[in-house]
Amino acid sequence: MTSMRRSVILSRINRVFLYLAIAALFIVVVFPFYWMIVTSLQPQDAVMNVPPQLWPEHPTFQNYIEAWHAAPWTRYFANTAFVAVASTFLSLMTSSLAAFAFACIDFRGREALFNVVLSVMMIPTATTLIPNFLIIRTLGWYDKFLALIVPFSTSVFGIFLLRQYFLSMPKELWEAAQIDGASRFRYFRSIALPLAKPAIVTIAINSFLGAWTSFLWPTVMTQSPDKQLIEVALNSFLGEKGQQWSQLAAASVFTTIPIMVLFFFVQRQFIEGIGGGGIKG
Amino acid sequence: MDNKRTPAQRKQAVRNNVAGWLFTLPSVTVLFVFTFLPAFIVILLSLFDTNLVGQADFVGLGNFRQMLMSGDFWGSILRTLYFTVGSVPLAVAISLLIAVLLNAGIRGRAFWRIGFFIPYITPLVATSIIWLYIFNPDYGLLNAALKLVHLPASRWLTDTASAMPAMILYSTWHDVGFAVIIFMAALSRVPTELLEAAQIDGASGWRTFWHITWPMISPSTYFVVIINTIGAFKMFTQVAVLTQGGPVDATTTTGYYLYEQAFGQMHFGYAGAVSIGLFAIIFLLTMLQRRLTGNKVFYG
Amino acid sequence: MSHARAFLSVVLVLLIALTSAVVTVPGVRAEALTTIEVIIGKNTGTVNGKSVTLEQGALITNGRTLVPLRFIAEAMGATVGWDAATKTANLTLADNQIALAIGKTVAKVNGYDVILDAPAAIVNGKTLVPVRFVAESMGATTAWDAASKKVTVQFSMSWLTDKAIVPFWEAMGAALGQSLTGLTKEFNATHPSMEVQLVQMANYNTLQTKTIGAIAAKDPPLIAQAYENWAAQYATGFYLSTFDSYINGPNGLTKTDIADFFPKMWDSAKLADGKRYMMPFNKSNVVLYYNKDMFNAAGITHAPTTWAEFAEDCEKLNKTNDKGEQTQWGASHTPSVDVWYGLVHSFGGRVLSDTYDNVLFGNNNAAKAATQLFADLYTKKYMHYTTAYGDQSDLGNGKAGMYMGSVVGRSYVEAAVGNKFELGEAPLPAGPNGAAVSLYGTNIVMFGNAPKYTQRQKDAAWAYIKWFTSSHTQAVWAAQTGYLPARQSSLQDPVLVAAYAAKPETRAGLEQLGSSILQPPTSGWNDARSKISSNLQAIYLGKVSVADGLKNMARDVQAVIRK
Repeated sequence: MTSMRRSVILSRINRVFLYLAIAALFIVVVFPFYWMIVTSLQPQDAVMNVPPQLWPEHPTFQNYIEAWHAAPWTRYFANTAFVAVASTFLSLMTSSLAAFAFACIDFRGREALFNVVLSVMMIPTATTLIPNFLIIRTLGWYDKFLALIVPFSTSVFGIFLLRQYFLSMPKELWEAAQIDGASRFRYFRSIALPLAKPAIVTIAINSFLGAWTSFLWPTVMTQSPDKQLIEVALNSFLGEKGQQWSQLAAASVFTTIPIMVLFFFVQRQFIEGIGGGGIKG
Repeated sequence: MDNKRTPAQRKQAVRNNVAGWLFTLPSVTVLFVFTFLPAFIVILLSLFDTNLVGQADFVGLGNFRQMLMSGDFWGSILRTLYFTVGSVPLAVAISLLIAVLLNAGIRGRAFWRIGFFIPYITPLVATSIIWLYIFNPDYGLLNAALKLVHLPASRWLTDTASAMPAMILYSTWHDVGFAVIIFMAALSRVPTELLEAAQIDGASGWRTFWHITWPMISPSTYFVVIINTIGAFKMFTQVAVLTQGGPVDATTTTGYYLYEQAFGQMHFGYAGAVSIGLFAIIFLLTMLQRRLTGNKVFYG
Repeated sequence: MSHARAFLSVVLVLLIALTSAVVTVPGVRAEALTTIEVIIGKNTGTVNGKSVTLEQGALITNGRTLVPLRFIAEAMGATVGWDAATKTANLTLADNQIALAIGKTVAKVNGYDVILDAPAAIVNGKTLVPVRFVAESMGATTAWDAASKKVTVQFSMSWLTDKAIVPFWEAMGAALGQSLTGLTKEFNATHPSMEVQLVQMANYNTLQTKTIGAIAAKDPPLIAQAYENWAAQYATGFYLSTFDSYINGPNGLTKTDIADFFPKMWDSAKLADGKRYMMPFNKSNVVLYYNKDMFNAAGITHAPTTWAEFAEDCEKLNKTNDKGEQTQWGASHTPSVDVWYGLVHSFGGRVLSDTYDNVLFGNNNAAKAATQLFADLYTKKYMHYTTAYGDQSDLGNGKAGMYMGSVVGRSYVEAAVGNKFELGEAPLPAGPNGAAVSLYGTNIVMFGNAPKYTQRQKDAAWAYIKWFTSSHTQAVWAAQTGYLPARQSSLQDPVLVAAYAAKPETRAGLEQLGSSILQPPTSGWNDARSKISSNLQAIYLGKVSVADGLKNMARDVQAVIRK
């Protein structure tokens, strides 16, 4: 056998192993989602069988119906969507304005302020939870949507990312705009922002995801049933349903679908945003 | 700075300052009120024994003394460290492996990549629920699988020894996707000429990886380690949903301990002291990491 | 350093004062108030001060005051209809309808049956009706002045449109929640000026943390379920109020009523300082559920009456296969502080001293023997160590012969068992020192000192609690849920009699009431429970010997018990 042939066979075997390895890892990682769906379709008395069935013998949608009626999910979805959209929108506005200032406006104290802002990332949320509780209480925002939106209406990650983008804009653009008589804000809105679209999409997705998955903060800052967000509601549902896994799985599935759908549409930008932006090296 | 500015320049400077501060005002205000101000308030709070409604006794450093002497506090720190040391290297290793495999030129990279990423974007509560079912020692999937291959079953989340490993397993599964993306991007930026040169020189795959690829992706590695470490220390949701700190206190991380002291026992001042302690430890760790990896991160 | 201390105290006080500044003042509304007065024996009544002649005066029957129907109805603005065939008076006010039949002790309010102590009657050709019943069923308030024998009724139409809202935080899930919802609906329908709003929490843990959060946020509910030790915690804040003023007030409880409560439950409603912060709500204890078929197959004729017998039965019932794996356990048990508490006492041991500040079990032989019994059963695998409701699942799946669960869990156990075997229920076994069973379950507390609630709301909350703890309601509650009725007279109520007749074994919980023991009503006990729980788990999982485990537990509990 020629060494050429040998290396071809070797590389083919390598390829097979490669695919096998990837496929195995893939299955392990994705299996719980398959399991979630299977469990949601199982009748309740089948979910505690030993050994578990990998495929439902008598699939049923009953669990979805029961789980849906067991709690006011439309309210929870509406709440979460409202909070997510509001905080994302505000976050984009405030972060882009600040990032623009840090990148393109030469003002006194810029460096110091930027470093202070960055250092915020160091403070863990656990440390500020209780004093924030006091602050929210003082503001009269306890159990109000304000408490769920305003504290998240800016993003240090967003400031950092957008600043990178704005820094990479050539100075000539600004000079040209100045000659045209554009104000700073005009320049920001019409030229800088559109150029930073990929970053904006990344930040928006990040912010939306954060709001959709928030748990500790809404648990502490709200109490009324009509203010509950989806994750807190799902956890309460877990407490109520105990071992009724099929209903719990159904609820897990339908509370996850919106975020999955969103992700399906924006996955490329999101992944590129994480992989490509902001990290040098 | 040229102190012989023209009036026009000075005017521009003033306009710049105003514009700069105006643009940053909304963002900075929010950050100030909800991140800096609380940081100061928590220091004040930690000096009192209070239930926030009526009872507030000044105890000075009493809370800190109690914390430093508390077996529960140090236990929670140890457990948090256990979790971090258990999950971070594991997550890094597995995600790097996946990224390397994906980068080795298989088809459908985007498809595989998304699959690995899905656990990361799925809300923690939803995935915790299904894992709670999977971990069930009597009828859960994991023990059924173990039985199939004649391995001993584990009590997973219900036994003090296996609860944290179970938590680590779950968290690693959840976090892997994020690091895969980072690593894939980093790997794709390794200049191919270097790799080809190494191949021509006859270097084996492993040596190429260790001597060329690994240093070149080290900033990303560092980034992943830091992000995962901070995340591990902040962890709360999984504990709240899966174990509520149990069994016994096997999964009571410091984040959860802090919550319990505040909202389970009404010891808000003490909880404040614990949150400061937590911050101090995260800070120390980050400093330590920076020092340890200082000269090993290659920025190219 | 006292300057710094003073300065810091001032700053913190300022901060807390600032946050207290956000106080909602309840809106003061001008109500068109109608005041009606009638004096027993006199033939005149007054409406808003104006005198009205009555053809028949008010009188007292069976302790209840009856007043002329037309008089009271017209004064309140209700329309009266008379059905001669059934001799029923129908009153209508706004959307509310009352139907009173002469001589019948059951009236209808908005479709619900209400039991009367004194029926409507015809005296001198005039129809007289019980004033308190009619007034309250139409949203009015009544007050009785014993000295002048005067009944005062006050009413405002705005009370019907602007109801007194009572937020009630509870953790009654599934079937229990349905029963509570049904009963609350009945209360709201029969008390049209009041509306109790149930807010159901996912579980007791959430109820506690949410209530603490709400208190800390200065936004507590009006009433909530609470264990005694939670109430001790809440009492350290501003808002918890005592019930004495209501019990002794115009709409209060008579001495007969108070004596009618089961003494242990009435006593459990006080905190260690003797203040009555609670009212009984859902009391229960743990009973033994068992698989009668499995017992028969193993030749066991009756449920174990002593713990020693329990251990023997566990051994008889346990089965292993040829691989040495356990296929059947004698019992399954999720470690429980409540069960252990009773267990120790049944062996003659004590957990805490009478003043609740000293631990008595650290080196105590009775406590050791009691704990050892369970520990051995776990070690030998005659008893299955489970978590959460795993023990109930085991019984239902036929994997274990016995399990200790709340009386209230009966409906869940029945659901788990289905038709697979015959379910048995028995009191818990007794120890060498007799029977001792933890009486647990929550009481209701009222955050009456919270400024956001008006007096109307608080009165409504009390009316609800009084109604809920009344004899008939307790009978219905017990029959539907399995909770132990708070009133002794409930045992004669036909509803409960029928329920117990249908399933005689469900009396097991009631039978144990005599051997009830209460857990310490202190906030330190709150911390202590979690310490006991963690140490019990360590002992039962075999990580530490019983002697060492109890020593550790004693040390942990002593450290927190004095808060």
